[in-house]
Amino acid sequence: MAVMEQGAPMEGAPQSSGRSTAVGLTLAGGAIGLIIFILMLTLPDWLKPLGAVASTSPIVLSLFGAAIVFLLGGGVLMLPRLGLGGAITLTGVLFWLAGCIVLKGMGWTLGAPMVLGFLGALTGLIANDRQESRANPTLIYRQLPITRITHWVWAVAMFFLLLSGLQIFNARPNLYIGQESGFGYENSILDIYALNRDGGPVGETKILGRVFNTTGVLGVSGSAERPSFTAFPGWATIPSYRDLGSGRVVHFFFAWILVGTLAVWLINAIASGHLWRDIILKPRDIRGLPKDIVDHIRLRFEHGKSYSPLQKLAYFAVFVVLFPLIILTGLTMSPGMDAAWPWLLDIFGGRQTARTIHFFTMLALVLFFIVHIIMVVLANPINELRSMITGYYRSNVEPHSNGEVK
Amino acid sequence: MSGFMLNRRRLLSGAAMGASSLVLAGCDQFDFLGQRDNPTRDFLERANSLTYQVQRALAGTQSLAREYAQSEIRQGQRPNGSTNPDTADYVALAANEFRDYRLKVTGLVERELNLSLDELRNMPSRTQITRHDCVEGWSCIGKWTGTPLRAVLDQAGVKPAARLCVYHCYDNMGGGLSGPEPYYESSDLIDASHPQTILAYGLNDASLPVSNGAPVRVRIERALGYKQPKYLHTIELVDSFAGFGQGQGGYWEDHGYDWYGGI
Repeated sequence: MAVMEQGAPMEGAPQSSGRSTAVGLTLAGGAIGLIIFILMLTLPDWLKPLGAVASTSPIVLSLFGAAIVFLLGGGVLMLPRLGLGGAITLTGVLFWLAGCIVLKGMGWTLGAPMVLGFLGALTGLIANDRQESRANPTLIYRQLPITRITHWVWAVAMFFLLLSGLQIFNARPNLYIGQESGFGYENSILDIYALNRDGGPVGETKILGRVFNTTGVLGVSGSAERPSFTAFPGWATIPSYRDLGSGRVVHFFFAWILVGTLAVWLINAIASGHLWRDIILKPRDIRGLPKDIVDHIRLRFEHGKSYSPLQKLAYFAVFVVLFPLIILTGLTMSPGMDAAWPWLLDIFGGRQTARTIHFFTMLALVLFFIVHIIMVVLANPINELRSMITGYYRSNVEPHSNGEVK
Repeated sequence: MSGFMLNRRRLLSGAAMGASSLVLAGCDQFDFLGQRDNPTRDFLERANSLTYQVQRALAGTQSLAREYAQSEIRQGQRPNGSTNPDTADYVALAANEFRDYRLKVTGLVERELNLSLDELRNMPSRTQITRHDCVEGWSCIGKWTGTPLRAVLDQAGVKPAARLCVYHCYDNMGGGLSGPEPYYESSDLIDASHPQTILAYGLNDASLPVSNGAPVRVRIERALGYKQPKYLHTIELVDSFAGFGQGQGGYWEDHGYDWYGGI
């Protein structure tokens, strides 16, 4: 990572050729993106066959605008700081992709900046990783096979659980507090619906009595010619059309996958000491928390064999709080399980409250995912991906400087 | 949408970005899982059998669904699905306030039964305040009064070969291309004999209204709402539900929902 480059001499033909390729590709992507962006604002019809369409949506325009800033800025930054520049470029690519998804448009025109930026970011990150490897050739064995396998199984399972879960939610896009749903009285805290207004259908989201216009994303989505009146839009659900039965098939299959792998992981994590050593926060971790927060704000990451206090806190939240919570609240929604384990209704305060907690736990896991991806991008994605695929990680901590590194 | 699909394919081949392709794939890449005959879906559906077996093991045959206090009934029972059947037989029965109604118990039984509403009401009754959980996600608490199905089955004498109860109803569902399909459901004998499984003729201290399934609906309290068939006319004891409807054990099961319905 760029901030760790203090000791790395930046010289030699291979690095500089990697660097110039990366910078060139990224800047070209950013420049093409800028041209397309300007053309999109001026709405020329001839862009349509090329995949780009005119857009006046502030969300679309700001996503593309941010993408261009990140692509151009990342490209320039790669000259002095290869790793940080690559990471910022990669972020720009993700912004661009998000813009394309919201715009529902993709073609050679719109794809070019993304592909160029991605190749540029990849080249820069690989060059940066090779450069760091030269300065510090030692790789430490950090992730056991069971950690790596369960990680990727969960990644797939959570993806399907999220999208099938939104399908299930769409069958009743309200959240209530209590045992039951209020039809003759009000106990709803979230309500997503569509209304017919003079200007056409409007999607609204009511949270704790406050109404927000969410047309285009929640309540009403799709094109003006073919609007879709689902709470979450079709691109966020499996299947993409309304099909509660199929959503349940997918959801319960991957729920079993999650529960099964979590059980295997937990038994191993307890037996091997992984849970105690790497996940449970100790007094020393709590004491180290303020410094770790400051380090993270300054983007100075310590890459040791063990996790930093903030990392432990994040994984503790996922494994000890969020995963158990989302599984148990899911079971509370089952009338069969409520008969088997009546205490479920008592600890969560009723089936509908459990459903609400299930939903907000999902949001917390999505938030974790976003932060997780940002941290991987910022902390040398090549090194992070290598450790989660092969188990080997390049540490920047001297083995003797940290008692936990073995 | 189809133009977008083609373009997306181009993108996927162009940029092999795992995470982002997953996000895009959410559009309609996994719509094949909605096809009933897809082998991958068949495989995923096996998890439902696992759920059924594990829940039966955890809940046993006698554990009860939560029963609530009178004070927790705060609203009428929300009707869903059919709310006013228009089949000729049902319309005629309703016009006469169900005086000619007969509940038939047939199939693998020692004695076929043909019970009037009064005969049902004169049998031992059970009243329970329970939570109705719809597969859509909502719940509604109501007070149900009816005859334990167990008592009716005992009177009919279930033959040892019987494994399942099929519940035939007066209401038609569907329409459109497939035409009207009679609503039916089925359960195993564990659910049929469960102490809280009743043939409900009363709701919230009144006769069961038409919108909630008059004159008789089945309550299987450890299962979701679609396992509580309304407008019941025949209970058939069988060893397999393969011959009914499209062979999946119920109207909604024929349309892609799981048979167990306990989650």
